[in-house]
Amino acid sequence: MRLPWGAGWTSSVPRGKTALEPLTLLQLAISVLLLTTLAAPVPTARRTRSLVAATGIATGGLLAGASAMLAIQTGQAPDFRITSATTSVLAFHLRLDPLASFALLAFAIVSIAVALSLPAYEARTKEAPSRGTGSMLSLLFLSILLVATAHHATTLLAAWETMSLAGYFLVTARHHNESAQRAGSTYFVLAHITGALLFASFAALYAQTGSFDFDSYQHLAATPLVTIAFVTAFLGLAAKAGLIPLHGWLPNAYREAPAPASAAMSGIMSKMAVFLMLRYAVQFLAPGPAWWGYLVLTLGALSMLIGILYALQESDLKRLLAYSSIENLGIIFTAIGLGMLLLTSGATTLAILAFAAAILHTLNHATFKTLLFLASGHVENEAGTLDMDQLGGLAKRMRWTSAFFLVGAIAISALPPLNGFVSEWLLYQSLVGTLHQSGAVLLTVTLATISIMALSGGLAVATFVKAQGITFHALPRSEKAAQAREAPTSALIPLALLALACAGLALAAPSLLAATQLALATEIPALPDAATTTSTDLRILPTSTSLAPLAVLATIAILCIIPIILARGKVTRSMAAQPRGPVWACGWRATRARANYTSLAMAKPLRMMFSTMLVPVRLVQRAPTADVLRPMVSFDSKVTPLVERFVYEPIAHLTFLFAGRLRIIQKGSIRVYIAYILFVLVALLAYVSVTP
Amino acid sequence: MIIELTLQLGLVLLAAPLLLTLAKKTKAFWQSRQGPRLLQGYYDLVKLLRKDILLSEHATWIFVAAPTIILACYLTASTLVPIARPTAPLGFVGDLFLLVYLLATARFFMALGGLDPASPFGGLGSSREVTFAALIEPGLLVSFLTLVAVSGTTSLDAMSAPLHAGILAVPPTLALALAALLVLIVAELNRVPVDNPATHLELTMVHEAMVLEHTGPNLAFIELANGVKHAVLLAIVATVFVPWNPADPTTLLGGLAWSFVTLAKMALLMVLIATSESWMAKWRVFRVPELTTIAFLLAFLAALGSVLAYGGT
Repeated sequence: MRLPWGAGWTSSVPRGKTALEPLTLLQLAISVLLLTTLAAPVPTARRTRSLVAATGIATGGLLAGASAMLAIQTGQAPDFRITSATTSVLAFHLRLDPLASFALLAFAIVSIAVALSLPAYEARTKEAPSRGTGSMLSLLFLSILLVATAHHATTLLAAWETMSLAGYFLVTARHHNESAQRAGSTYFVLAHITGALLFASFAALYAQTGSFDFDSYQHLAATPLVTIAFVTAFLGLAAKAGLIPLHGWLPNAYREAPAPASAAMSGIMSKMAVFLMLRYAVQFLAPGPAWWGYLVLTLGALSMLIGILYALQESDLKRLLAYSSIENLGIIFTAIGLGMLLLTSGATTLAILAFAAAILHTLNHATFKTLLFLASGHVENEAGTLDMDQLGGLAKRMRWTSAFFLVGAIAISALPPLNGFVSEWLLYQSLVGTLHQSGAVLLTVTLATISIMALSGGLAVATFVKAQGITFHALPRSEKAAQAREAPTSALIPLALLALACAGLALAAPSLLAATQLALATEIPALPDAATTTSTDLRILPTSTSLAPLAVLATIAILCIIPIILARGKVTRSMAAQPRGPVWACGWRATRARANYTSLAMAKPLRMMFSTMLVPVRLVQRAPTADVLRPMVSFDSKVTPLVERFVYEPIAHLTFLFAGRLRIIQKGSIRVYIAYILFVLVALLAYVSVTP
Repeated sequence: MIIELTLQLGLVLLAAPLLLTLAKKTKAFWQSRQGPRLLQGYYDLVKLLRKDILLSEHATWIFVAAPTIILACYLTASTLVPIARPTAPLGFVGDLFLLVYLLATARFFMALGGLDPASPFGGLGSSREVTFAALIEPGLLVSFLTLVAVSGTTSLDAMSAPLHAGILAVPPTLALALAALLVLIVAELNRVPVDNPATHLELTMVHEAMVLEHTGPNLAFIELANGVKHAVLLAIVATVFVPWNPADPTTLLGGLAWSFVTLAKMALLMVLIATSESWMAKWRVFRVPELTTIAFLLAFLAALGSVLAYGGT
């Protein structure tokens, strides 16, 4: 079957019988990852173990990426199916459809970079992760590959649970740490809630359609059962993506996992929630009632703002990145929610633009967040800490890591000309296009969303100026940071590749946009489209030439020539040749790092301005000391995690209360339990005999 | 297009130092001083360009590269605004967002340049700058939506079309949006009451604290970039929000007159801002959110009114 969505690309490529079918490559990728999972823990030497895992994962990633590219180019959507003769419930059905292909592109970028960084990370890390880490990483990627391509509920759920389990073992890879154990338990609970909600969702879909195969879920109308399916799926996926208020597991899990695992989890595992959500929005469900869209949009916008507010207040580099993931997933879900709203109001073309923005931002975020997490791994290994108040001055000691982190920071702050800007620009354009729909509620919500997005954009710049500036610039704030060395060259290669990918995705944005739009157009049925034919849309919708990041980049680069010429060589000579002097400190020689701004100081104005949301608390303690003139004072300050306190704690409390009540039926005697079983059996038999 | 681009860049680069001197001159007038010569801005630039760079002993390449990148970003932003001609040289569909984010890119490097040389003041300036900018950005973007809703385009030079056509001729929404935009532009330009460009007192500096360590050509670029930023934001008010211009830009002579009128409007705005600056004290740092919040609310109301009245058309 040849879908029209590939036609835009295939015209220039000679078609013909190729030796390599996308499906063959996909099967190869699955087999390689399966073998890697089994083989990686076997060798006794740690170095061999990580090399085996790295080679396997990188090969799997390459094969999966190649199969996705081939599928996109040839416009095929091949199926692979193993079904049971007796029941339709059990089936293994994969399908490399357009959505899956784009998921696999992100998968390839992340998996290759993570694999390349793994051996150097494991060689340099101070706290060795457990023996099975490489294997679990491989299992994680294998299950992600299956989740991305699954086309049957059973296949999907099995892969999904495997993914959650592999994630658990990665979070607790340093299981000697109590903090890792705690992060693991929270993750485990929320992953199970996610799984349970997805089971419920597919059960509802089964009740509606009588099938577990995705082929039967085509644009289902919003019956009560379908509504249940949507709501449960959305809540489950929101928890997996870490949307607020379901984000509790995320900051600690990403913090405790080894850096390559954090990169994999943030870069691609959380994105599986996005692609499944997209599947619901554009494949499974027909345009539903407006409140579905509002639900997704509201939670997305909320996560965007609160995520970045918390990120700004973090002084732990990896937790900062984790909270920033919440922000970016918020942006993606905002785009999906907007697309759903637009589908409901019949503006298909604009809806496709919003969904395309979601897909492109997913791809972009996978790239730069992987880059940032891997770079944070270098900082952790070489400077011995992730506490930004202990870091500083690393730009001189880890020049390349610092430069690559800078590229990631620019991209994730959505600054032109890198890829983050392109996808946020697309979302802005589709939001502005929505201003021409009708309905006071929709218009007000759209305006509010634009405002929240602009505020989050400004806060993201603040956050990443802080992350880059406090970590890498000024003076080192500790002995460890002062003695940091550059990471080995082999560890810098994946960073360089990802930095190039950030630029490459920006340059390829026009053709990627065209491809995603074509792909989405085949998924979304041609509805009566009220808005596409008006001239308004022509002024909003981007054409292939309307945003050429290359042109922006070229303009900025060319205009740099003006100052360079004016300075006559003074700004372009080598850093060693520049005259140096002490900094101005009102006549003092401020050579001490303590005279510099810290992470807390940098974020302090916004902490005070948003104090109603952040509720900062400070702990100042005076230690009793003999020295009257120089008392010892300790200071600690943190923001109150409101969701944890007001949502999680009451729920956990109620759960334990309920469990305490249930203890009455626990007698600890085996005869009582046999009696229970007998009782349930009799009750079930009675139920079956009564119902016709 | 190349000619148009060169013309506009030349005009912006020439106007930039003049605008800053004009502001100083106006403030001097209200303080009964004579103030600098009108050409003083150019002399300062030439003097700084002749000098050598002196770097902090802790600075890295970011600090040296930042002024160049900042100037290039503002110059790129200036190509999206109609100044020399009624059409922007490099304008395209959706360049509004590019403009706002180019300002953010320049700010990113400015703030990083403040942190890099390990100056005790740099961090203070950077922290306040990114804070204020985050508060300014929503209002700045939303104030444009009043025009976007009516014109249906996010391209800066086409946005004012409905004003020419007489729609929104006596517009409460436009007045609200313009008021919000003016307040936010004053804040974005680091002028009183948010920041004082004339101060070097440690406790009150924002912009100046960030650029304290820059010397020679790099300081010249920072100053020039500041001038270009003034030119870009004032030109937005002068050509997008108050686009009326009696000259007919289709003829050669009329075209010259058109850009002259635009420059005169920008100069007038600068004088007005400098005048208001002379009559006002700088606010405390923690009062700035009040200002930006009020401006945001005005902009939001204006946009909402405009969207509800003209949306769906």
